Amino acid sequence: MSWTRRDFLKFSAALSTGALAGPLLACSPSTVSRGSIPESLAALRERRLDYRKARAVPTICFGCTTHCGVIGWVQDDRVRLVEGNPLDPNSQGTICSKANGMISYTDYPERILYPMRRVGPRGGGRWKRISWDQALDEIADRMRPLREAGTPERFVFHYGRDKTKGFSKRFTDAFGTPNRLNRRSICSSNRRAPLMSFYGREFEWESQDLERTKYVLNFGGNPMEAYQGGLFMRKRLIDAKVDRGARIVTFEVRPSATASVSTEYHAVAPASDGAIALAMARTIVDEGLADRAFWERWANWDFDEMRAHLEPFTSAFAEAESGVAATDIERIAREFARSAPACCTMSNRGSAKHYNGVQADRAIRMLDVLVGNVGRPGGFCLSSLRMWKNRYGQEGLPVIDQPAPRPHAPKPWKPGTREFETLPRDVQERVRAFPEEWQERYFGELATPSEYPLSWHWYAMRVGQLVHPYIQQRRQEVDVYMSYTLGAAYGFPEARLAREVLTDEALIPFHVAIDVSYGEQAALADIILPDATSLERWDAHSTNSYGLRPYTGIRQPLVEPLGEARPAQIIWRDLARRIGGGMERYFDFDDLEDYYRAWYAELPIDWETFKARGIWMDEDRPLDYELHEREVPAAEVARAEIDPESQTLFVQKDGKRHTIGIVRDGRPVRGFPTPSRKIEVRDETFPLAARLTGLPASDINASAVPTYARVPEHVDLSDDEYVLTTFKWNVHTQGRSAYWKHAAEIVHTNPVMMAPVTAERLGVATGDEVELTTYRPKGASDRSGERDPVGRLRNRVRVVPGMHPRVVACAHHSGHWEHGVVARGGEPTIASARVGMNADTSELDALAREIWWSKDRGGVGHGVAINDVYPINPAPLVGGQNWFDNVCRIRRVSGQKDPRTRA
Amino acid sequence: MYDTSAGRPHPSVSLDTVPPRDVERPGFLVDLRRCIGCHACSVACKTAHAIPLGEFPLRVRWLPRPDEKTFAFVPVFSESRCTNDAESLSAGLEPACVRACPTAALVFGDLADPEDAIHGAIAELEATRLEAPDADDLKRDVHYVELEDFVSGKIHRGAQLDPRDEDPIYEQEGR
Repeated sequence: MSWTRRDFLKFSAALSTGALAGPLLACSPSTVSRGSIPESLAALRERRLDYRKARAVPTICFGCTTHCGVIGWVQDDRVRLVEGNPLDPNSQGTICSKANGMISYTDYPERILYPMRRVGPRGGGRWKRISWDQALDEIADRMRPLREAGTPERFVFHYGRDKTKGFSKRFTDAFGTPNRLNRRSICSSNRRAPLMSFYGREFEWESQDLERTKYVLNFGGNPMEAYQGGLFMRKRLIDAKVDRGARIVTFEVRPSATASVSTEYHAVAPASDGAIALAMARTIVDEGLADRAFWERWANWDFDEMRAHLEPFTSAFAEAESGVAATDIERIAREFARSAPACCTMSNRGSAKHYNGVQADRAIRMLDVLVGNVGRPGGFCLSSLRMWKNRYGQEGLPVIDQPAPRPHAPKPWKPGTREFETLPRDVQERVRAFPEEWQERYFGELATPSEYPLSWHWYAMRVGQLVHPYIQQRRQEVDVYMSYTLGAAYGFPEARLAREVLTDEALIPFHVAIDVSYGEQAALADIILPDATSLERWDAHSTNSYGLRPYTGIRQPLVEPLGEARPAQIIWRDLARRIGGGMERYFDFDDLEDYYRAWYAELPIDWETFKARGIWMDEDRPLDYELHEREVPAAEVARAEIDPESQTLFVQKDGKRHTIGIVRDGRPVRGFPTPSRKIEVRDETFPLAARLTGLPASDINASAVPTYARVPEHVDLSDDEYVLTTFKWNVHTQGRSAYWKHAAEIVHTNPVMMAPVTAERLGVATGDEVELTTYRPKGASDRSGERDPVGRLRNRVRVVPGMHPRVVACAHHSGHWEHGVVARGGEPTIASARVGMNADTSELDALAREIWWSKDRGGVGHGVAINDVYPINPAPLVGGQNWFDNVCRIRRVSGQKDPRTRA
Repeated sequence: MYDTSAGRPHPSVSLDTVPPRDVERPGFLVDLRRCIGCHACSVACKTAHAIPLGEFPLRVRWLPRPDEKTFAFVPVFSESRCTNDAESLSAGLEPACVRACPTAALVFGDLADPEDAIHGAIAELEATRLEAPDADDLKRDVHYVELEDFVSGKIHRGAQLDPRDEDPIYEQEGR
């Protein structure tokens, strides 16, 4: 029988109407123990994937920060292939190469399979295998006294990728420590702060309506490769461009994949995005293209004041700053505004991870408000982000929350508390001057650094890159430090400082690392606990949807954990039970599945159906357009009061005003979840924070309104100074993908990319070796102004047309010295570390022989670790790392091209 | 334009009721307007078939464009190593590479079946074959939409690695 595509369509239609009985995909995890020896690759090739025998199980991807709904094919207790789940409204059934990276790391021959205890000095690489009982007893014995002595804050929990959606917080809250630290500032805090300032804490990310847009203005975002939570945009952007003729304009410093598929790519000077955005705003206002009615209804800043503020930001000024022609800036501004409301901005690290990045993103965000595309079809939309608890935009959705009982969060360190008294005098004085609402969110210098109050004003983003220097300076005494999927020792700026602190037993007496692979962080632990991988465990999932309709998904185990690995939730449960003292009552479950079933108790479909689908969404719910115009229900209005001046509706709770809406044209509507219920284009929080931390009012970060100034160290760059920028390739994710074999095969190096004109000036060619020397920043940043170089690195050159001539770019995920043989480019791993891994090395040896890029086989090797030479450089107030500001000098070390013979 | 949901697994569909895909002359359409160079196709293929490192049934090339300052992305298939994913076809599924493509740049069909949608797509989009004088192992029945002229001179050993490659990825010795 011949089966055509049309037949298949008919068949699918029959299924969706229920005409055929649809036996669902299998969904219960295997109960067979998987032991410790994965089947050999040769055997896998032999026994081909049989889709008719394999079980297909939906789950949520963990390959990057996007978290697509996926389906994994399981055969003989091994996941054989991962592909997209068509029920996911956000991914639309798409994946990327990293989805199958989950198989690479789950079946990695050098995966940690057993608890290990250090033998000999910390960092010496010698380990012995211990039992779970031994490991957990020892950790509990270290932690219990801290809690009993009333000093739980001396337990510090520091995570990299934690998608347990609050489960780890259950553990730290039950223990009582506020020191639940992360790496948000390494990643996205400069990007999140401007959006939360504009639209309220509920919106750390927006959801552009790309399915209907006609014009996309992209400042330094790379959604085709590595935009946090943003790979959902890829298909929508390509559909928009190819099927509907939408224009995508990208400003970048290097030819990323996104730049390559854009209709226009402009190579811009680093950190000039804000100047371009403000000049565009000026053009839009000057030429009468602004939606003044929208601005006056929703922006909290007087239109004429705004116009006057834009006066100096001409397109000629922006051209001088950015290198983009003034005529192009004006033309693009016009095209953008004329496409309204079906147009939107997009920006990410390229615009934000700079000294002036918070203001740049505020300037970019202002463009959407100016043309009135906010919440409109094809425009800049906002859609519910987090677990559903009847928050803004979540009205009518079932509540999805961790089961009770829940521990109380630790109490703030207000003046007068025991914890406050432990703080240094100057910190106490700073905190005393904070407004009360800040004091109620203050938890000491690691969790809420007082010099960076906007890293925790909206919510606890923290300043991860300062954790280790602060511990070194003893701003917080630490007894137990627990790393969870964290790569600070490799990937943080000035990572060698993190390593120094992690190695020093006087600063960190006890370090527990929970991870899947033996990375640089785990190598500096005292005890390593093997985590189950994303293909072996449960997690709840929700995020903002570019489909503009809230949905939720479930990560579920496709296979049993390999070896003795255990899901982190089980590790924390068992630790809590051993520590005792009451914290065990928050972990009263035996089966993790029961726990997640209770989490989803309010879902309108039953648990088995949810597991079989992997995704749930109310398909009849209207799309999230113009949430701000939705009417406040009469019952709520009846309970509220109106502030006559601002027209906001508010209720009193605990003696404080909480706004719930705003009256517009006599109608009570929701507005935005900001204090004014308007879009806070003007935000006095910035100058307030500046004043309370001693940042001069003249600093760009102190401005209440979006503005621009050049990055301090980019002013007067001399001819031999370049800006060193970094990025992620599309097959990689942070520092944790270098050992995924298919990713490493595609990208295993990180040469110094530079434009042909730059190479010419330096007298180098592709393949030549150069030495880069980096320097401290010059603005009001950590250790700024110090003259000594931060570090030097040697690496090879690759000439890439399309780079900005003042920029050199180096990907940041290469050059690992741990994470096993693949990450190390075929170099063997320290043998003694292997005691927690598979004792049979035949599969490892076979894999090692395949690494064709290893230097032993004449290959190019595995690149250069670069993160040690990046200065710790938090943006003032918000604290996001200014990754893309670093000034360096470049010296030719060796190569075929001798500069003396150059013409 | 083409339906991309058919031939993919769906949580509400049992493969037990899906007949095998009977394809006489397998062919691919690669819409280069849609390719974003993400490698989802090649990694899905290599994972599904447990292909060793260094061997490529297909490989996505990142080719610096000679005039513009960006990259062209071109998935290149091997005639000898690409098996058209018989396992998937026998289960009634599209090949794993096609299912993995996040932007619907890959289309699979039966070139011997005039009713197959791939014919219309090839004609309508004026898809052409990749001719590369050097390459001895290029898969024949692959049709590209908007194939740029410069590409053929940059394809050396088909999908396999070659030291002459100019891609910034798959870095080989000395480059």
